[in-house]
Amino acid sequence: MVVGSIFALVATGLTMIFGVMKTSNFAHGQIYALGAYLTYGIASHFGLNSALALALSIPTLFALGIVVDKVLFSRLRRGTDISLLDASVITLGFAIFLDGFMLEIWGADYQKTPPILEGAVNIGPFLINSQRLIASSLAMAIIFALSLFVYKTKAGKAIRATQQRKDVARSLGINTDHIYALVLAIAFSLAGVAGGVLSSIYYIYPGMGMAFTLRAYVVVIVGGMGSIEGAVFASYLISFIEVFASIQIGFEYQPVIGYLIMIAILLIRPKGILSK
Amino acid sequence: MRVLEVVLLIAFLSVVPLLISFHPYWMYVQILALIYAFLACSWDLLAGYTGISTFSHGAFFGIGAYSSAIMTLGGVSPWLSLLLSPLVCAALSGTLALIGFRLRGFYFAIVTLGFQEIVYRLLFIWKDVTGGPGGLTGIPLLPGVPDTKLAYYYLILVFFSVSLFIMFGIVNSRIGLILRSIRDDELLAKTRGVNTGKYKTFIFLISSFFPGLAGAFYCHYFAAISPEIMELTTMVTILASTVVGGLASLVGPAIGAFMMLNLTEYLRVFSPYFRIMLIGLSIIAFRLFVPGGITSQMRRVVNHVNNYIKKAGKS
Repeated sequence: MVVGSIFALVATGLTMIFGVMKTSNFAHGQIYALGAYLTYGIASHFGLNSALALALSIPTLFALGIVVDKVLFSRLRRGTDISLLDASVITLGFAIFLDGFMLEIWGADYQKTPPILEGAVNIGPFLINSQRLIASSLAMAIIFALSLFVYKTKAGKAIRATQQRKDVARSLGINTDHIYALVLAIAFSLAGVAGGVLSSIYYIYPGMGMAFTLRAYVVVIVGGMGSIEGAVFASYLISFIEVFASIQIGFEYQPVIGYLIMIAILLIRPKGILSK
Repeated sequence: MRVLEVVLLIAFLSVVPLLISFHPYWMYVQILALIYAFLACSWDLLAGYTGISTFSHGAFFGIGAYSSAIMTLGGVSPWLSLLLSPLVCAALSGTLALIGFRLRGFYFAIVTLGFQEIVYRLLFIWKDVTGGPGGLTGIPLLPGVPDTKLAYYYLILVFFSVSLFIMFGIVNSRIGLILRSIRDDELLAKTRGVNTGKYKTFIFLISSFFPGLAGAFYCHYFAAISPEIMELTTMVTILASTVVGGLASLVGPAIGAFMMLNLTEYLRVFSPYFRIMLIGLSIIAFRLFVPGGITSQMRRVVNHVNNYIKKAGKS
């Protein structure tokens, strides 16, 4: 449940990047890892509360999103969408750069951020760790806020317009370059929140990025590329199937199950399970 | 002109041991560089010439190494397994192509990345066969080859040269032309009656044969392998070599591999992780500022000199 909610955040960002910017980002898991490490780093280095550390690391990632779009992606765009080869090569390069950066600064050891709230709460018959409760409710609140932003505000309308017809959006006076930077910044922040929150539940280590990128792509593809609702739905679905299937056929196969589901979905319903 | 480049490259690589005066550690780096040149050149066939974004070359390298190791530990002669494990890779890549080429380019890229991750995970799951995180040790060396770095260097150089001429032949044949037409406009190629799926599968099979060979050679040279060789870093180093050397130039990836491996090894003394950052940075920097890679710059210089000589000859 917790993993499902948090994954919804990572996958939503990724699906927005794909839907609006029409490009892939193979460094998304690394951004998630960076979010986790920033929260951990700020909390442990300055001795701050984890919630405050999380609140500080998000603007950093938001800024990083804008910088990456203006420095990397905007140069590749040159009027058209970024070519697949360029996008994959550049973002994989960026991913390995971030991997090296995190190893250099925080070392290869496993780390954990202190939880925001200690202890556990009783909800009905279940005993739930309060940190996990905070994580899930925060994730749901953010997704709710994001859908309000995308569907109710003027900026959200501009994002959707750019997603549908970039050229028309441009002719209506929408600065699509700013929209791209905004989308990337939002996606980075979402991944950062996910990383920051999970860093106090699971151990974090610098090499975890790529596995998360791929898991996020599994979710996004199963949910349908570019669809926020699909991503949220699929991230819960995949978490459940993974837990269920790993009980059935053996825990060690858990990492592989997701990819097999993805390949099956690609062959049967390439547009995602929620497609009409 | 282009064949001259290939010959010059091989000539240069065959005098490299003299340049480093047979220093044992740097000889080891050169062998590694040649293995990466193998990987990068064959990846270039797909990415540079056909325009397919695929990220399973690291996996095929690992599969080649593991299958050859498992076969020889089971009693097969190393020379035979050196031939068989590339065929294992080609067979697996055929399966991957069968699934993958039904999909559009982007999904194919994801499927190949997923393939790499599945294979990597399976190494840990099938502990009995693969040795799990510890890997396999005690793999027999190639019988009949003197156990010196120099002998192994020239052996892989021979393999590499033969493969490079095969790739050169493919690229400059009618097939190479078709592959480039697929890269430039697949739809147009289709409407002109080219069975693009057939050619893409063909080049995918061919180009995964070479990493299998490189992997098999790797395991018989080091006599030990671990899952580390299938990590993302391997694939990204292939990308970096190709991008730095120049996409679709055939000799470029080999030059790139030679430079990247030596440079990152040299920088290892400063910090163990700095080289990983450098690999990433060099991909970004070259793709943004020198899209043609080093080869394009070298060709420009040669052209300038040529024109200058011609002008001087006329006047």
